[in-house]
Amino acid sequence: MKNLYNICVIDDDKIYQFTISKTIKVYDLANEILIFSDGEEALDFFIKNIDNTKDLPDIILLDINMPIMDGFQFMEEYIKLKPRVGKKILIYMVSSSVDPSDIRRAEMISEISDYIIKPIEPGELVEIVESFRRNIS
Amino acid sequence: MNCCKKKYLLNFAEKITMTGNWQTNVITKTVKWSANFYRIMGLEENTEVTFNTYLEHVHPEDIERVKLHQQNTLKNNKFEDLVHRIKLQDGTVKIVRVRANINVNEFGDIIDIIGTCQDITEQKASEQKIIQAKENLIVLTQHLSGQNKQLEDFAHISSHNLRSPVSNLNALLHLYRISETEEEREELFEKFETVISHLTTTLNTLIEALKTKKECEKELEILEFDHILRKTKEIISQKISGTNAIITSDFSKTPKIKYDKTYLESIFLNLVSNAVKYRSPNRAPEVHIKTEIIDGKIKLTFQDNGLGIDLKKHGHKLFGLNKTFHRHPEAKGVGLYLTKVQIESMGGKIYATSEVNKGSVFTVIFNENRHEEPL
Repeated sequence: MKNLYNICVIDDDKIYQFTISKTIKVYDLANEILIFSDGEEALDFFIKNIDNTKDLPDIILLDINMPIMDGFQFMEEYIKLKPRVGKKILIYMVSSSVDPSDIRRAEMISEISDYIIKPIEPGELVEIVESFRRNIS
Repeated sequence: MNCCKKKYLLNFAEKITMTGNWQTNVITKTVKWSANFYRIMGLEENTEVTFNTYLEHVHPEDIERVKLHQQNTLKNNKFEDLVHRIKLQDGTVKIVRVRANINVNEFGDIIDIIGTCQDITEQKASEQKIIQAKENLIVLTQHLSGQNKQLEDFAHISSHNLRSPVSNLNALLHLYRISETEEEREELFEKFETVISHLTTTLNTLIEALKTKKECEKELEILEFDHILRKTKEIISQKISGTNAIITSDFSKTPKIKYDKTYLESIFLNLVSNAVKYRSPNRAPEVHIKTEIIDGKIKLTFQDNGLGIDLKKHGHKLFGLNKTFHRHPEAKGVGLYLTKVQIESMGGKIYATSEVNKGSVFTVIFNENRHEEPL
């Protein structure tokens, strides 16, 4: 079965938003693509839709450096929210930062599945969706 | 040991320690100096001396202090150690340390004072050299730490600010290769243009910052804050009238500064236009700019009633390159970075205090002691 999943992109870079959604579409990887420009926008959406499990994303691609609320700040809030989320969500940190302290910090958060350094290759994206599918079945 | 031998030894000891001894009889008002004390004072041995002879040799700038010390000695029956300068008849200036004991009679009245006087000019000069060397080292260390910090910033910038547009270019390139219609390619081409123009801005900013660092010896001129502000207002006059911004200032405490003109203009332009740009939608922007002197340094503050910034969340990256804190179409994250680089290259610092929805205060502390060159 294909196209079952919602992929959520949280990143303030408009070009990245464009390329990632285009890639997802081209490779037919998602049912729905949700785009947010910073952590706060995404969090607001989560809080509003916490009970609409099917509208919530299955996979989150989360950037680190964003205005208002950055990726790590988003994770702090998300962890508080997690008990109320009725489905399994995979979170990937996707950043252009090669700063070891960012990578270490992401590794410390058990809710984060992996740290991917931009650019994210289409193959990697396919692999993420595949692994989610394996995980769920 | 006979008396003569003792006297010889004492004289010898005084010579090598550059010390002289003296006695002042308070009752008979007579003074007696040792041979070496005469030498320190630059006088022939056995010249007729009175108490005034000594005072006449005290350096004019120290005379008040020495006289006060004298009064205190007589009042308290205690001679505190005293260091002061003397000026010899030939103009030589020396630094001496004077120590003495007081002898009193059974009624507690002073009979005489017996003391030593050591020439510590060389000692003081070496001390001064050490202090100077230490100060130079501090300046050098600050300079090096500053450069180190700037290098770190640079590594950080190249990692963050150059990597992301380049990775965008790669992603766009991939999409371009697999694109099927002319329409798609056109859309992608527009995106290419956006990234390239962004990359150009970043590179230009970096070059601007590099230039700042190289020109550490700028031509400084005396600038009037009032003039700089007037010029800033002219440049952003449209923004000011468009937003009904009220800009007030008080430079009465210190109206002028010796600084690099381009930098000061850029500091004003960035901080004033930021204050107007990040205004609250609920009120007309008000900006108040003033100068003060704090610990001998000029402090310049820009206070606004704008959106404010959550410094707990963003404080650590406020002055970073391409960091933005508002969902604002004009927020590019270039201004504050360059402003900071410019201020720091001139030895000053900048920091902010802010309250969300109340406003922000940006404070610049200029370094007034930077006329001394690091080593």
